Amino acid sequence: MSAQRPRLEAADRVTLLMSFVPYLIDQGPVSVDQLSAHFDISPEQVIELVELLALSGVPGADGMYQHQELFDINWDLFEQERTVELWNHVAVDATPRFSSREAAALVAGVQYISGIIPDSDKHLLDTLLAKIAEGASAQPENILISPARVPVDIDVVRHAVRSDLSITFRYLNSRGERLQRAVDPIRLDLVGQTWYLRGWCHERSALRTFRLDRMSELSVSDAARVTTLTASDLPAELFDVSPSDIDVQFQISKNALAFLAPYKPRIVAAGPGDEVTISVQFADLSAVPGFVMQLPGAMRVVSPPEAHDLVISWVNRSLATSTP
Amino acid sequence: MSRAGASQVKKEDRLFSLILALVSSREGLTKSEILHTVRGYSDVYDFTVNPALDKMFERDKSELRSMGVIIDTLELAEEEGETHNIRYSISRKNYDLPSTVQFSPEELTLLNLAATAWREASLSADSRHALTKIKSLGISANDPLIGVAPHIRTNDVAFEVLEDALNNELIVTFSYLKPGQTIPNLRTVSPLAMLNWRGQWYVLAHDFDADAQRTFLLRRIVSEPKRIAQKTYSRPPAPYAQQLQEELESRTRENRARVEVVPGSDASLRLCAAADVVTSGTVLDIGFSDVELLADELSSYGDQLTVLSPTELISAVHNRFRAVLAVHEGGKQ
Repeated sequence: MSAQRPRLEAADRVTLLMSFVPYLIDQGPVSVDQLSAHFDISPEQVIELVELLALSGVPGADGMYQHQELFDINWDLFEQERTVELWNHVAVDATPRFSSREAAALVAGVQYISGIIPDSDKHLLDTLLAKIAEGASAQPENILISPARVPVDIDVVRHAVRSDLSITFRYLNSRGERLQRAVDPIRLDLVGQTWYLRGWCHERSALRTFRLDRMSELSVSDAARVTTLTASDLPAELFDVSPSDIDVQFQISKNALAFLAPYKPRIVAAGPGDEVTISVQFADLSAVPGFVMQLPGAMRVVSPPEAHDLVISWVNRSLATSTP
Repeated sequence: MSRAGASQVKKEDRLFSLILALVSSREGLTKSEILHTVRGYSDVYDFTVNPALDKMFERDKSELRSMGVIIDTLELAEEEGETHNIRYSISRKNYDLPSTVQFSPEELTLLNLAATAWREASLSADSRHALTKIKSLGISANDPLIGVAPHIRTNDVAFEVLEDALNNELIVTFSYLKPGQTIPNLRTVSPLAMLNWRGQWYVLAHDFDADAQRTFLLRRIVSEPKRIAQKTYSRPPAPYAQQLQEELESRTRENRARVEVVPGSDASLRLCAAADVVTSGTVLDIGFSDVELLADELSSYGDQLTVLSPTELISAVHNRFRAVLAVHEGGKQ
């Protein structure tokens, strides 16, 4: 997570300054590194903020800032041991309230992932949402995300991880093949409304991604866990790009590009008009017709010709089936 | 030479100084007191009328509000009408998180996930700020048994403008293309709530032409929404998002489709795992809120299923196949 820290904007810095105050009051002397780890910013950013905080305060009527009306830190400790100790604070000492939008983002986010909360803890959800709303300075904005349904019993996965065992399940892959798999679960990824399991596949001896809604007969296996990889070792990309992937090109309207963002399309040519040619990587051409059906009539396969022909035969078969 | 931008004081320094000054002042400060004394203003203020500095103060106030810091305005009775005597202050009651709001390590783990879910989406900065504030309470998250990486999607072009309009009670116009129509029509609305339901973003809005509430699907908005300048719509507070969710739920209970799936196919496995599906043998009874959205989903399964009813769904699925065929056979040449 720390690898992709965003640049700090003024609003980020003000929020951090407001948040440093109660934290430093409560914790006593805290090292720069601890502040950096706790607030997920770099040590350099911590130092910059602490230096600003230490010179902040309340102005007198003449616009002069008097010593007793300023924040103060133990400068010797800060300069010699990179440790922050607050000696004086003014005006504020508490955690600030959430804005209505901040509260709404948390409420919607918690609801979105609420499928992973074990049934025994579901009652905690309402309490948590009520606390977020109570902590906002204005009514949280009206934004909701309906929970993404979890199609399998995640407690099986949790149980396996707790006992250092792998899980086993039947899996229908994108080519329609039925497989039996033993996997060390590493991370659950929720993308839009679809849950994926990422894990170490014993049969393949490799990292693999599985859709939960294509699994059946999930259970804890007798096989011990073999991988030492953890959630943070996984690449952010859900599907690993392999050299054997096939590059398929499509022509689409520029306006439709946003819908395909999750597939990371590469624009290879612009025009004619507001059309663009994009390139998307496929592990297997069998997924191309389903991909085209996301924007029926607004997306055309340009190359390779096998993909183009596959779409036509797939659609013809579908038309035949769907005509009762 | 008193341009507001000429100050050497950084913006975060000015905003934080403004918070401290307004919290600590008991009777509040007038604007000229603020401009004269608070760092970031005082170094450029020269006691003359300065529209650039005034504008900066107005922007700062709304920026603080978006961070959750509400500035109160007080007008003393004997000073009524004298706008330069309006006093500004921040009350501790509005600033401080109530002491009853505490979070357990388990709750923090969930809140961490909720905030990371927005990372690649529109409210990423806001959720990050909320998390920073929670971290100032000094709690640490507990280690979950299995890592979870959630990703909220806000890919619709209209999302950001509508969300901004929702947050600020603005009025916007956009072109909306209803299924079956070829010409979009222009709508003028003020958003009341936004809801992601089964992966699609909806906005419930007050529609000014209809003078009634209307629901729009974001993916059918075909122009970038434009704000109507200077106009706002103050909505009475109500749980609009829940209202919209209940409406979609009730539509889903009423509208049912029957679909026959190939046993053991991807369609059979995935549709049976979905919500609102009742299975009897190879025939599924599927609840839906919008026939076109269901047609989008079902057509992606190709020959793994046959739609039995209703007829609109059968033709909607057919139309999709024919549309794909048309562009591909035409494009072959």
